[in-house]
Amino acid sequence: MTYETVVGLEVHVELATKTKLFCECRTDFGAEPNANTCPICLAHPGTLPRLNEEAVALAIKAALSLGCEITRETKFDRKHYFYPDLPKAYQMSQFDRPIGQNGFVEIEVDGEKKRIRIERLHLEEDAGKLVHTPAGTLVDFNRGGVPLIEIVSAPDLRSGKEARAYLEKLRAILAYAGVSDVRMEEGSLRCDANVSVRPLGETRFGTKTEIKNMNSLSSVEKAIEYEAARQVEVLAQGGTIRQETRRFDEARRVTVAMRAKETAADYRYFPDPDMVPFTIPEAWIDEIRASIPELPDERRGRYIEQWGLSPYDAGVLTLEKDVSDFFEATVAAGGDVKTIANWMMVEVLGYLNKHQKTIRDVPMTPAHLAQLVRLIEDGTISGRIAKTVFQEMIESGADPKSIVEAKGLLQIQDVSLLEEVVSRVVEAHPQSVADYLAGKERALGHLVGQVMKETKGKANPKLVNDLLQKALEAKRADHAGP
Amino acid sequence: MTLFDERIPELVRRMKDGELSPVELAEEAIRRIEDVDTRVGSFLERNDALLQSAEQLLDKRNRGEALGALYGLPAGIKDNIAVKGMKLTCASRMLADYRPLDDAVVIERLRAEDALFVGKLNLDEFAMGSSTETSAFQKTRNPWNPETVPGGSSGGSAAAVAAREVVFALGTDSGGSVRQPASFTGIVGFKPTYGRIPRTGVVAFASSFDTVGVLAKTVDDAAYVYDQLHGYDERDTTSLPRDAEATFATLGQDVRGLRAAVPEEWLENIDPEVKARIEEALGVMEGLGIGVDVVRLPHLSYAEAAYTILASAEAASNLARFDGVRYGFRPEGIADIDELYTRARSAGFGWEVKRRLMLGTFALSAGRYEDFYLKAQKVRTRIREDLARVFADYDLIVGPTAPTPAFHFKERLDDPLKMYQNDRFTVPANLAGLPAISVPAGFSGSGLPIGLQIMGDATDDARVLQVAYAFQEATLHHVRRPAL
Amino acid sequence: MIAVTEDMVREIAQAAAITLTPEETAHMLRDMQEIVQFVERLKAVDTEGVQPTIHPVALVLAMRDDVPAQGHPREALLALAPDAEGGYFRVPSVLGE
Repeated sequence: MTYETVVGLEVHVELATKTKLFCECRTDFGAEPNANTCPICLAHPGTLPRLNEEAVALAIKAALSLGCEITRETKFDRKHYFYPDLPKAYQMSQFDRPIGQNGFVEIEVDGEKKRIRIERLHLEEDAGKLVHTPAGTLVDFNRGGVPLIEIVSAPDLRSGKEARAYLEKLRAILAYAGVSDVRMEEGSLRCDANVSVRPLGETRFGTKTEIKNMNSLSSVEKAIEYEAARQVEVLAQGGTIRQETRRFDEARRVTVAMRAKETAADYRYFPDPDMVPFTIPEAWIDEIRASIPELPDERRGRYIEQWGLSPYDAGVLTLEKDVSDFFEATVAAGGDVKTIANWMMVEVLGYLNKHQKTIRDVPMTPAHLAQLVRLIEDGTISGRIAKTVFQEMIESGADPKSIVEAKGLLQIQDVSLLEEVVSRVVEAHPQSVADYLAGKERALGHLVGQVMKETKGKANPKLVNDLLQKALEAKRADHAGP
Repeated sequence: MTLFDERIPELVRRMKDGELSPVELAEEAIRRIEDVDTRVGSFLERNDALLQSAEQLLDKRNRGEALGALYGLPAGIKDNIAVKGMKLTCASRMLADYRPLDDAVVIERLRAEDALFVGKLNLDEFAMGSSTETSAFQKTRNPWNPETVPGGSSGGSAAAVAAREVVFALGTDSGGSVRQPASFTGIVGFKPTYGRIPRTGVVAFASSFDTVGVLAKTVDDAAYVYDQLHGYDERDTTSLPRDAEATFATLGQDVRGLRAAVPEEWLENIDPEVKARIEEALGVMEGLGIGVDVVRLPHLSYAEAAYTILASAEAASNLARFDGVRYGFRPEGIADIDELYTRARSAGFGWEVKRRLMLGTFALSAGRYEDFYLKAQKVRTRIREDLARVFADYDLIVGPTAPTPAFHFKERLDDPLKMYQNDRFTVPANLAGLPAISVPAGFSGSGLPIGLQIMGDATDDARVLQVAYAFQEATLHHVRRPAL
Repeated sequence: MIAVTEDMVREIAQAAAITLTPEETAHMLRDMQEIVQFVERLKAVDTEGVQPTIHPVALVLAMRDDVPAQGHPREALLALAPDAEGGYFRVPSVLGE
């Protein structure tokens, strides 16, 4: 029997506010434990929530960027459970009036476009962090109360690959909109997946499992593929799927069942009585809508139409906002768009992939990359030398001109110097000369290579070509002469 | 006769004029507490620095600085309101050693007006109760009769004012907790419109009901103190944005021509002596030119049931934070986290608190939410609608504050329904967020005080105080004081 | 009519993170039966089409500007904890992670 995989994602994204959702504590990552806490986010008696307007604005912005309708009459609800990382023993969240509903994200997998529906987007507060030690569990509440949005997709995804594409696209949109820095490695974007399988053609859903602890895009893809295969295997052997929460084991690349809950959790949601329900004014929504910058799909279209890039290249270059911004800044600094695009696609992204880095991790600036491209265009260095310069540039952050000068990589333009080398090479390779004169054009390439070798690659290849031809034609004249 | 029998504005004037010193008043408070508090039991903690603070106030005057409206007045604070440097126990083992880092907004305001803090006053644990018997620490006795309760939950605040241990006290009122103890102890208890006084620094019991109130010996004292407390604070987004006008200056305004409604059910099933005093009081009001009619509010008899569910649900949620992790009580020898929660909470909370946490958790749980919590919220709307209809035709709703005078210790402690029924006349004001006051309306045959409740429409705080003042000035009930 | 049972009392106590001894369970069962029976009278009220009251007074929610403020030093906050270690609050081991 052929099975179909059905996936829905729940994505939590930390909003890029300066302060927490209900208090004035900072949200910066990496502070000393509990340095960013106060009586409000530690749930001291007598404290009351004070809603951060920017968090609401960013949630609205995220919702609009994902094509959601805004729930104008909204409120916060309390979600109850006891856990040491949750100070009030309830999480402030939104139950039946999420700030955004009915949005979508367009993805493209293997050339096929698909629209993934977003059921809801709501605002809530993050929990603290636990550190387990032999002498007990330590609690850091710095993250407790940081504003989050939870984005719940419909079960529209059909593979790990689609899930990954959705997540990449979602991440790009949120980064472009400026609502979050969406860094999975710092936990500012987290993802849980609901996975089930069903026989192809079946319209009802199978029993789903929830997968947690996926810390990168590739682990999301792998975890879903593994889990779907596991479920198919269980069914093929006549078993049934248990509704449970499973954890992705990154090292072994498998999902493992977590402690099964005996009963379904009852969170006893009810409207927070410390705050009144509130109405989001239409004018505010309009103002936020007007402030949304160009989103990835628009930008991709612009690259194709305005700059003539291929749809594929435009797609790759717009997938990450930082990369796209770098590319645009390079173009703005001057240089041929297509050459720059090519350098971005091949060298820059190649380097980043190979070293598992992001564009923010390298010291190279767009101005330097633009300079490098210009050095090639004006013949100061050859394309081959440029690759050496690039390696140095992306690692050290030095500007390409200094690298070229310091390493003596300037292209040799001196005609008399090159004439000398050319005549030496012509004398030393009589066979190639003879071949050339006998009409074997290929021999010229060999001779050019010899000149480049002698000059350690620094000779201007066009000049070498010209001088060699001139020297060879002179030989032909000698042979034909008296 | 003690200094504390004198009216607040007069005391402040005398101190500002230098006829009297804040130190003398502070000493008077200390003397009174030493004389009577072993018999009353109002105080959970006394401010050791009271005399120093009084001396600082004296210096302030000597330096010629501007003096606050509450200059030198010794105040008592219910121990669910945060005073920096003092404990905030809520009369619970859970918070026996907790000291808040900040003053409540109301304490900031009292401090800014140069009031003195005598100490923290007893209450029912987490303000849950009507007799102050659920305090984990001590019994507070009614100054009029030591065998009876002072009412609750602000029983310590009421007893301290009635016993003249303080000049005024702050309490909180979620279902009658300022008005009912005022009624039981023969003083004035004023609960303003919900949101008039910011709640920040007041330990939440039931957030959509909790209101800070003033307990004082007279209406004018209560109005004078209230004027220093009301007004928006950005730290409490449920505080009312529009600042109300000062009320004290409006006392004495003519109340002739106002119309008062008496709910029919408020005169049914009540103590005959209470009924007699209230009927006399209604006669006094008519004598003041206030028209009094008996009306029927169809949903009023459901007020207690709705209140019981909603307040318990909010309490179950508000008290979930007490888990022994970041502050508060943690028992010894805990093996794992689940044990920490259950043992800290089981040993930290008393029976009444547990009972309400259970009921609140029940009312919010899956499958019961619609029939209990949501239903009660809708009945709350019905009751508000009933009250709004009355206020379309009337200026006031009046009646008894409580169905009986003060009862005996243990009389109702094990009968939750009987205890809750105490609140039946006071909870409607909390369900609708309305201002209401209890003023002395006479005594029972055995000499226990009885209170008259006057309720106004939302934000009509000044009118409630004006009518209560007019009633007080037309009677002499407030002049009698307990023989301690 | 909803029948409050002993199992229900145990289940709710667990949700409220309270342990009750067998005697307390029996006592709580009696109290809850009585209170639940009392509050069930609300069923008699017609609330068809009635909006629930979340808050008693009409207010427009005031929001806060996103400006950080430094409050109390963390040492003051940690000093209130029953157990703290190296800048962290400490609790007994959390199992089953």
